[in-house]
Parts: sequence; structure tokens; C-alpha cells
Amino acid sequence: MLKILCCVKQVPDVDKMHMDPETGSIVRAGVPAILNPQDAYALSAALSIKERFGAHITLITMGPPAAEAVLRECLAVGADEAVLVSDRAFGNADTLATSYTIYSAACTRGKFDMIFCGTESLDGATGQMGAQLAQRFGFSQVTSTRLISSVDETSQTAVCERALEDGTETLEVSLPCLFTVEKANYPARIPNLKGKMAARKAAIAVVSSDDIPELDRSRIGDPGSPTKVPRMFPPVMPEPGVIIDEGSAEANAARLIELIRNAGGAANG
Amino acid sequence: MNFTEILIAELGSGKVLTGDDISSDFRHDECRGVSGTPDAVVLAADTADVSAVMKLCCEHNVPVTVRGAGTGQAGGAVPVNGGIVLSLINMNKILGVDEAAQCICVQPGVLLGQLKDEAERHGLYYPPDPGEKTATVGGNAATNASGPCAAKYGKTRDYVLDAVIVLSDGTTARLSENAGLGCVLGSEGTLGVITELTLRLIKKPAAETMLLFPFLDTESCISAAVRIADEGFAPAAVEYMDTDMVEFSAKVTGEPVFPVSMDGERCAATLMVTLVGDDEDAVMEMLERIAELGEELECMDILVGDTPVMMREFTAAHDAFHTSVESSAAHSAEYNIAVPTSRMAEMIGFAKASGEKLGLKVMCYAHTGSGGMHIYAVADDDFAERSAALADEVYAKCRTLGGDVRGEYGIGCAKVMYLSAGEAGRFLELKSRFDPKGILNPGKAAK
Repeated sequence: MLKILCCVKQVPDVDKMHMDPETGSIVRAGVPAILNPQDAYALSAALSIKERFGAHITLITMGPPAAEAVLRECLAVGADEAVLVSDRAFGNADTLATSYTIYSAACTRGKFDMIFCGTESLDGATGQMGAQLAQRFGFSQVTSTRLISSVDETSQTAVCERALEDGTETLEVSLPCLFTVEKANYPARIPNLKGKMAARKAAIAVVSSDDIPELDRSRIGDPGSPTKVPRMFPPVMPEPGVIIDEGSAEANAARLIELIRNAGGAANG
Repeated sequence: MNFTEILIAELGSGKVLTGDDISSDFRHDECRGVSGTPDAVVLAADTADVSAVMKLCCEHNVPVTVRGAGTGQAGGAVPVNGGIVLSLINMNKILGVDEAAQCICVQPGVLLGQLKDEAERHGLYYPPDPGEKTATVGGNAATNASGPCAAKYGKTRDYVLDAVIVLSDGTTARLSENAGLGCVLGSEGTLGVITELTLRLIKKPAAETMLLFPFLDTESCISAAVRIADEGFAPAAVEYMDTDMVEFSAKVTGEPVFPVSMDGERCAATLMVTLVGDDEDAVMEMLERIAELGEELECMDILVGDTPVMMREFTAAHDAFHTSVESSAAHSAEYNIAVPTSRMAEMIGFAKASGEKLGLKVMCYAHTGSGGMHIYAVADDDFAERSAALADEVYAKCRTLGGDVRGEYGIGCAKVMYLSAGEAGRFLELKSRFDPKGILNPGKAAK
């Protein structure tokens, strides 16, 4: 049976977040944590493989104990087991330290044929995790995957489609392979009540730094993170546009002329 | 001086638009096929402005059409008889929030979305929500707007503690719940002009979960809605969603969210139920009870949206029904009615069959708690006569089922012809007392 690793992340709900314009810091108070939406698409792709070809899906996330919630959310739609990589020693990690930690922890769970990741996270949005993990595992990788049309476990190959700026690329890839997944054919799954109830009671494996043999502690957490963020600031928002919808092309044109005339009048003083 | 010059002399030229300065926006609202040209538009800044306008219009017998954001669907804000459009859109100040008393005081031009956000900033909640967040609160009060949550929380009227009303002769009065306010709310700008509202707020339930129940047929879906209501779950909303509606909207938005089939079998409809409770445990207890009820409901599955993302997606997909029809159908019409929940399946079946006979695609969604129904007909061509014929059939059937043709949008001028003689007579008798000269929104609500 195919063994799939699906990487997920708990992120702050950015729709509820705002930035303090004075300090540039993100105000997180009272902001709920959610499953990174892109990771929901990755999980949807993994579930699609499981449904069509049979597979065992292992979820993995690194985060505080509260990150267990997103693992239960993923178990509810059909993932088989979940691993929470959690330890204060892993805190303040950049992508380099995170990919090393995830890789090291995942290796304690056996070998995988396929790894699924979101294209990027809602908070950091570096888009680096998939590529870094593929490199660490020594897997081939397909970014921006739109569709995995077939998987042949015997020949260890898969055929997939990848989104390009000007079209779609069809690839045959060797397994093991890491895929970062786009939403196109893999919208987030909605759990059913039965799955939700079962996920509430499911056991979740917690992996700490002590549980990972031969872990290089200089490569995890803050000491292992060369990336520093000196300052954050909100983006400058452009002026909002105007939607003209007067009910007909003629009325739209008349309204447009009126707006241009008014703008010209204002500009001319 | 002509009347426009009199207005300008009273209010100043900055508040009075005439001629080419009147944007075409003021000639219509969102009701298709209804338009009118005002002689002037007054952009009122406060109650004194409104009072001055009404006094002058009363003296000179000039019709006045009060307007908020123009999002109405029944032509209520359209100056079909010319005269003055009295825009309250600049009266958009939040005058104060009393957290201890749980109330907020606003001018009528505040948008519903702003009101809800302001309440939330104070840890409170304003429940009435017809869906259109860019509608003004004044417009909501004038039409007594409701929406999906009306069954649990009530309509706009249930949240108005008091209001400042300017009567047709310019007299200003602060009316409370027990002092005639009820007549003005929902009267669609025909009895008085609302210039200030004190609204009740409540504490928002701490926990919320949305459930989807797909069904093979409409009858089972509506029966389940009745059963869920009877079981005492007190859901915030129980929405009926026709699969034709779901598919149409998903195609337009490109964001399919709701199921259209389960294990290869097409659903006829889906119920979307919003459960609320004081804490997560209370909601979980309800979920456990619903799980036990599952088989009796005869649904195809029970899907759970309990994360902020999922709930936002459900809500956005539901909110998109109306705009998807408006924005993409070559020709469309909406028949907005309310019928007793137990008769909804019959109403839906009738509308679909009638539409089919006329060659129109009919789809709908409905608030099963309050009985409010949004029935749409779409077609590529030759629409006007067929949609009018369907309107006649739908509104007549609504009456035979003990329903209300007002629905949620009010009567405006779009549904005047469907009022019964008794309803029209009672309204006109009331109007003659409030507005003896008949200058406030003439031709609306009844004639």
C-alpha cells in the first residue's frame, strides 16, 4: 500500500488579524487558529489518491500542543494517523530549521512514497517548505500540482499535471515524490459527522526532541534559524476601484462618461 | 422661485443635486425594470435637513422618495412619481454604543456591515441580516428586513428600541416601541422618515457550528427542517438550498462548496443548519443528539463545518446565490415570498413545475425558520411575458398556501398588484392618518 505523508500547519486566521501600524507587530490577541487553507488542498489530493489507489496517510505538523486541533480536523476527513512534533526546543524556527525538524521527525515513522504539502502557508508565505523537504528526503518534486491522474505503485511512477503561467505541463514522475498542490481539482474536504466524532477520540502521536534519535540540536529552533525578521509593516493599499453596473451596456457607458467627466472636472479644478 | 430653487435657498446648493448632477444611481434601486427620474436629490446631513425638506414638500405637495443605499429589490426607493429623492446616505454616523445597556444609536445611513462590525468591536452582536451588508440600517428598518436568522432572533423591528421619525409635515418625534413606532417600521418610507435609530444588541453565542444535510428529495429536506426545529435545537438558521441553485451559483463563482451529489447520487436539496451554544460543549452535545437523529431524518449524510474557514466558505457560497443570478443570467426574475414551513415543499414543487411549463429554469433557496423564500426564474430570451405569467402563478399559489407576498423585500412598487383589497385598504387608511397629502413615497406599498 502506498504510504503518504501530508504536511499541515496551524496558522492564525489572517482574516481576523490586523497589524499595529505604530509598532508593525501583528496583533494576535483573540485570533483563532486555523488549518492552513493550502494544506487542506494538499490533504484533499492525498485523500483522492487513497480513494482511487489505496494508501495510508500520515499527517505531520510542528507546533504547540494546541496544533492538535488541525490534526483532528484532518483526521475527520479521512487521514489515518497524526503526528504532532512539539517541543519548546523547536520554537522560533525559520523554514530551514522547520524542514530539518519535520524531516527528522517523519523519518521516525518509516518511509514514504509520496509527500503532499500546500504551496505556501497563510502566515509566513515563503513557499519554501515543499522544496526544502524534497531536498532533505532526496525525493523528486512537483510544484503547483493541479491533478494527479494516475499512480502505479509497482513501477513507482505517477502522472500529474502542473500549472504553468501559460498552460499546463503533464509529467510522469518517479516515486518517491513530493507534490505541492493547488486548489484547482482538490478543494478542501468537508468532514461528515461520523468522521468528526471519531477524530475527537483519535490518538495523536506527540514527538519531542528527545524522541528523535541523532537529532542535531544546533539545527533546530532559534539556534538553527539563520533567518531574522528585523521589521514588519503593512502594505500600502491601492485606491479601491469602482464597479459600474447600471443594467445595460448603454447605461454603463453613460455612467462611465459621467465619472470621467467628473474626474476631469475635479482634476481641472 | 421654482421648488428646486426654494430647496437650495433652504439647504444650500451643496446638499441639492439637480439636472445633470443627478447620478443615474438615483433613478433606480436593484429591482429590475423599475425606474423614475427625480426633479432633485437632497443629500440630507441631519434630522433638521430632513425636517426642512418634508416641511417644504408638504407645503408644495411635492412627492418624496426616501433612499438609503439603493439595494432594495422591490423598487421602494425609486422615484416613480418624480419629485424629490431624499437620500440619507450621508447620515452615516454611529452616535454611540452603550455596552452595559447593550444598545447602539446610529443614523439611518450607517451600513449594516458597519453596524455589525461596530457591535462586534464592543463584544456584542446585531442579529438581523438580510444578507446585503451594504444596505443601510435605515433601509433595513423601513422594510423590516429579516433573513436566515429571523426565526431564532427576530426581524429588524424586534431590535429597534426607539427611533426619531420625521413626519410628512416636517414634524419630528422620537417614537418608542409602545408609541406608534411599530407602524412606521416596515412601512417602506410611506409613513415617515427614520432619521435616528437606537438598536438593541445581544451577546453573540460563544460557539457555532454549521451542518449540511443533503437529501434525495425536497419533501424529505423540508420535513427534516421541521423536525430539527421541533427537536428544540433552536438553530440560528435552517436554510433550504435547492441543488439547481447551488450548481448555478457554483458555476458563476467558480467556487463549488456545497454538495450536489453523494456517492454518485444527485441530491435534490441540502439543508444548512447553524447551531449555536454558550460553549463548545453545548454545541457538541447537540451534534451528538443530531447524530442519533441522523437516520430518522433520511438525509444522505451529515457534513460538518465547524472551523472559521469552513463556516466562512459556507456563508459566502450561500450569500452568492442572489448575486450569481443577478450577475450572470441573461434574463432573470426573483419572486420573494413567505409561506408556512410545512407548505414549502409544495410551493417549491409548484414553482418548478410552473416554470417548466413556461420554459423557464426555476431554482430557489429559503429560510425554513421564517418561511422566507427566494425563487428565481432564468432564461436566455423571450423572458418578460413568461416571467410575468410565472409571477402571477407563484404569488397566487403563495396566497392559497397561507403565505405572504411581501416576503422580505416588502411591496415597493413591484408587488403592489399582488396585495389583496383588504390589505391595501387597511394600509391606505393608516397612511391617510400619517400622510394626509400622500407625498411620502406615493405608489408604494399599496395604491
